[in-house]
Amino acid sequence: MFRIIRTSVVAIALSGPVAATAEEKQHQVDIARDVADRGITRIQERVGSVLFQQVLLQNVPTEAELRNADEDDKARPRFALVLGHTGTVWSKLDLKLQLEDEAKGVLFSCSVSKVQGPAWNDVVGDACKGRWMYMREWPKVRTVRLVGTITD
Amino acid sequence: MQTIGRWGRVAAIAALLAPVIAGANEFSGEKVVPMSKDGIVAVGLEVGPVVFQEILVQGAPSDPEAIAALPGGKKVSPRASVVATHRGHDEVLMKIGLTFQDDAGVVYLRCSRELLEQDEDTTNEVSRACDSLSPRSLPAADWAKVTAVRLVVSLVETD
Repeated sequence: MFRIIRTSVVAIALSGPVAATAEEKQHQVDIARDVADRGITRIQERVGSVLFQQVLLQNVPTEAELRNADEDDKARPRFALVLGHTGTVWSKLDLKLQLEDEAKGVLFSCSVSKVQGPAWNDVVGDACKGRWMYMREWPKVRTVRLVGTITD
Repeated sequence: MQTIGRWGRVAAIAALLAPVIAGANEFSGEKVVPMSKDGIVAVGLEVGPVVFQEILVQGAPSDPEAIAALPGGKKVSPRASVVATHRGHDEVLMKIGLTFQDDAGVVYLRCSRELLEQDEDTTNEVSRACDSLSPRSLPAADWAKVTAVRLVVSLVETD
């Protein structure tokens, strides 16, 4: 018990000054790319310490599903975000992933939050799991956009 | 613990063989592709109903300049995932092997994963390919010599 209290006191004492002196830098993210054939969209853009490599669009409806879809049928796409991080401090990612039509209208979106340390091609998986859009709107999808902040 | 491991292995082998015995389709394929500086290696290998789109090299840089910048004598433990699309109608069980080698065929690292499941009708699924890594780590200087990746896949369709 004493050891737990002592450890906590030491941890609090150490974290105080670190938190107070840590210099956080926030970077804005707004990256849009045309959705590539087969749903593997290259980004290759660095924001702060994070290198966005690509967005993998998953659970894409098949041609048969699109052809046979009723008015109310739903598509349930997911994303996997492939990224690198070559900084020396951890970064906090707060992002929104969106699928947009030609007029930049948002057809589908979800939020992703992650604390990321040094990495090469880490995968942030299952983003948007459980969310849906109408299948009939799928053919309008043109762009994938990442919006939000990265705090180094 | 050893008994559980043994029975687990028996169950896994039985699971892999059951569809074969039942007459399910079996496929295999392999491809050697050049390593890329960003660690995203384009593959484009079709094995039965599954298309292996790319390999993601993880856990270490792939750019020779970045590898050279690592501290002297540093060891690395690279890992990898495969990105695959399965447009068939049956779930598959896959065995994946990766070999990291140079142009002369000298192998620096192998990794594999057995009995990996992939549901039917999936797009760009990411699967870890390196449950088993040999050697566990290697000098960064050796890792810098890797110029190609060999992907070997065998799979069976299950009901």
